[in-house]
Amino acid sequence: MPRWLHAWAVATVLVTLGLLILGQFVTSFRAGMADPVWPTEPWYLADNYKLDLGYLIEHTHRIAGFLVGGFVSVLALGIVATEPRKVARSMSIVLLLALLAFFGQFHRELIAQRDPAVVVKLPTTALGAMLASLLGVVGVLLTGWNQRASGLRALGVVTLVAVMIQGLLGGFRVRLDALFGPELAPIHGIFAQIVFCLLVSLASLTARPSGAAVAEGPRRILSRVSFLLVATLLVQLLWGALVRHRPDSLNQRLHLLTAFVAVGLGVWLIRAGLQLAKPRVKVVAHVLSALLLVQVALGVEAWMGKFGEEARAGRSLNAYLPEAEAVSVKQAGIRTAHTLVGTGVLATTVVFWLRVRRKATPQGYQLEQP
Amino acid sequence: MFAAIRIRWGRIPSAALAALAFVLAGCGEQPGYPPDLEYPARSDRLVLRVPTAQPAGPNEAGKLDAELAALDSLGGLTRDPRALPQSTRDQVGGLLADLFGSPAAPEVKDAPGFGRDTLAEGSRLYRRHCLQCHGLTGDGRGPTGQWIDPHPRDFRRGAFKFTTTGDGGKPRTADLARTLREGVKGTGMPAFGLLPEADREKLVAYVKFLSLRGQTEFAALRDAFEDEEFDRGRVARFIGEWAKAETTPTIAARPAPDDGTKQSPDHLAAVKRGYELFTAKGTTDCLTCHDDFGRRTTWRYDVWGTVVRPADLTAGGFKGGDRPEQLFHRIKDGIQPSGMPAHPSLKDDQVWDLVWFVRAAPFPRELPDDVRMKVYP
Repeated sequence: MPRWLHAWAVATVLVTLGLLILGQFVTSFRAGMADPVWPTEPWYLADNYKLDLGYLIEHTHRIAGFLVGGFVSVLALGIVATEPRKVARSMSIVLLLALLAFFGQFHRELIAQRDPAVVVKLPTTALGAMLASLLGVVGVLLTGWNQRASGLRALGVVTLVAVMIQGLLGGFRVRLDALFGPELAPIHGIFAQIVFCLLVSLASLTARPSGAAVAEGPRRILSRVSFLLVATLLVQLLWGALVRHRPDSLNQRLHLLTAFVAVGLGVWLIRAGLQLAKPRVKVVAHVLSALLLVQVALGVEAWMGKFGEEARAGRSLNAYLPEAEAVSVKQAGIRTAHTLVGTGVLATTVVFWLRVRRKATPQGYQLEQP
Repeated sequence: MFAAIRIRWGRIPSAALAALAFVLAGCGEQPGYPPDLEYPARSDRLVLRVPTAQPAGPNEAGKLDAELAALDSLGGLTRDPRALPQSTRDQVGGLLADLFGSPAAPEVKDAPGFGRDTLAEGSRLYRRHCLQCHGLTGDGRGPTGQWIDPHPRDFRRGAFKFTTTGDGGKPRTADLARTLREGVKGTGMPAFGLLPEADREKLVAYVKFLSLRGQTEFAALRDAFEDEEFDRGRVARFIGEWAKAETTPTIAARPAPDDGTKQSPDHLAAVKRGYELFTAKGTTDCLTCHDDFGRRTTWRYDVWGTVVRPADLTAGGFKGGDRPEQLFHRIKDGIQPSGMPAHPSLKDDQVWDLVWFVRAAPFPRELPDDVRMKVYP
């Protein structure tokens, strides 16, 4: 695997982290509808500048989305280019470029009907061409499924498609607000976490393997528990997104209860990881323990700021409507930090899982096919 | 430690599906309100008079209340409801609760035009689509509202900008429905054209309700500052203003010239007459506010105490819509809460000439040569 690819994957994760921070600010400051016009071009803000916090947050989030799209496109092309068969490599690259070109056309056709008074007609021709290109890439990859790192190449294509879907989810959250209200927003927020996990996985899998593998017995258990923690954290993020977007009492309870499960699993995993004496796993366990501690503290503060006595100003919980309350900069900061550290916990657990699931082989280490 | 863990992997997909079904089951429902939730008492300033001097610049997002508080020092007159004795505020709160109910059960006592079921459904829709900007009471201070410019409309003043009723009074239901359906260009107000018409009608009814409730609160608090007792009969008068708006005669729209006729001699002559009216001193005086056809900004206060600027005609994109009949009403009826005067003395043909000039102004090629030289020197 070329070294530049790993460096590019890490850079993509960092740029995406910036996008996530801006996305969390959009939610914290409730700026998702600060500009009801979508789609916009990357340079839209330069032509339509307004000194207005919500508008600027929303538009810098959109610009960061374009940037991430560019980074992921290069990453996916680079990963597909590692295909060892020459013809298959050329075909995959051409088809992936076609997918990107048709996505651009799809976006342009949506821009042409961005007047809010116009009912959106899905550009079906461009969409069909995108699907055909995608099927072509998948077909080429499947013919070489027994090749080395074929799973990684598939993951690269899946990530690119996930980023495209994520961009459209964000846009349709704005464009279809009249139909769905803010209900597409939590879906966009939750899917962002999945996309981020995919990118972290790519960054981890493109790294050169080093250090000793975990013995088979603990490996199996650690692999399963860390996967279970990934699943629990995704569910927890789902409840978290619902608490942010639709904070009724049921969602609050589910978020609190799942927090106990996640912390319990996390503590067990950290303890087991530290006992292994494998440096690559121990480092991740240390990071996870630090993030988990910070996350619990931020969770308490975020809850107090949203539902606690400070937020309710003496009103009973039943007579209080959290989404109607103004958000202070402090509260927005705490909520944003809580969500981002939650993303960090999830990403670290994904890396933990990927590292412990490497099997020892006589030649060194080999990845299981994802 | 490791041997003690046994995970039943087969159960994970079914658990995940159950969780997803649970979440999806909640989607699409209109969120209701807690039954004991009350409309919060007004705590922002009443703007009783705005300064006559020109504002120094536009409003800053997030500083609305501070800017309103500063109006007194600039020659305006505002009052802080929190300065009233608690007993007076409780009295006003009791009056409003008695007349208008709560977010879960809104009503207008003795007003058959405001059906309870419509208002209750409108209130739920409002929570989903409008509350984040316009706030629970329609004060324009929802959590998103504080960060966007222009500020979302505060319904409680009982005033609306884009009306077709001509007297600066209440808008027709159709006026509010049009704003809801088409949005307000260049602002954060989205178009709700995709929302079913029945839902939009309920939302409009609820906006009228919030406006009526807010106007009553405004009047009651103002009376309290003047040591006068609020006369409940005034609510009936406010309701009467809404009813009167519906009976105002409507103007028949003239078709807009299509691309082929925009260069026709008749149309160009109409544009030129419109230009002459626009620049005439002593009749329309449009250039007084729309200085250099709106390119030069002249800030002014609207009745809410916020800062607005007359439209830049050369930029186009009018907030109240750029269809001929919409521009006709902006010119004929004015945008009175913003200080744009009505022009009742103009004949309809003159107003139409102005409409054709205003529509052509952003596009130099649609102006007659001599007019183009003056608008785009």
